[in-house]
Amino acid sequence: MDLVQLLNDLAGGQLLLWKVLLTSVIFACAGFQVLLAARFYEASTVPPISTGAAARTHRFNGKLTVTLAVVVALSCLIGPAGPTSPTRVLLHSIFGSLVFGLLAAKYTALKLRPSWGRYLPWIGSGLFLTFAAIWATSVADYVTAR
Amino acid sequence: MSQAADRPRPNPVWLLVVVLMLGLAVTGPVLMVRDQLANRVATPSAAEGAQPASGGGQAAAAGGTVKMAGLAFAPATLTVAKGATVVFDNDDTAPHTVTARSGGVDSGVLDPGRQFQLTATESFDYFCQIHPSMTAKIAVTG
Repeated sequence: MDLVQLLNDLAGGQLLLWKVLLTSVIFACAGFQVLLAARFYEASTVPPISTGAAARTHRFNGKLTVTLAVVVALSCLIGPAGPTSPTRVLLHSIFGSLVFGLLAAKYTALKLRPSWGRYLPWIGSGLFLTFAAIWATSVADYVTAR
Repeated sequence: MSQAADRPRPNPVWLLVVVLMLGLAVTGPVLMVRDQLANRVATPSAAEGAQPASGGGQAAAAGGTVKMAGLAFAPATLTVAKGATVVFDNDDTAPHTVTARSGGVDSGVLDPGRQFQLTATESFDYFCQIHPSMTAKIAVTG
């Protein structure tokens, strides 16, 4: 648990607030990912950029999102992870685990099993919804608790 | 040559990334199961480290209560006499812990509505392991 202390000290005693901020950034990035994917699948004209630019931005934004998600997840796993009550905490844990299962599926489809590519829109949509659920079961609760 | 033999071998780095993601995906459920098992085992002796105030026949000095609500301990500093009973009451919607920075006191996870009590013998700073920004202090006099 000393590691949690260290993280909290590094965060100026505001570890939870930092996690809340990062989770909100991740959620926003996940939403942007959906828009970019819709653009390069030519299902949308928003944002008004070329499909190539949308694909490049999607890749960069995806790496940023995953990196931040891993950082927040690790800070959860070495600290508070474990309790299964109340229901909000249980759901948060389930969605937090699910998101990495979906990311594993996404990287498999992208890099290891190209034939799974047709599932990418579904996996991507699932990722966004899961990030939304994570945000709702953490940040929303934090804000209302305040 | 078969098609499988012609297929380029996947970059092992991506294989590692997938394994890392799967590792993160299963760690949460593993911790939840471990927590459940630990709670089952620890329940009978949960108060062991807490030294329930009723024990020992020692006259308890005026004690106090610390409330957990809105992701904060209140009061932030509770001053009590040595030997007093301090009750920690989780009135919040989230689970919390009462964990001394110096070790020695650890309530374990207190779900909403649960209490933890101890006999204060020395001053200590404590925090919640689940929400480390929650910090407070028990100051013992006498």
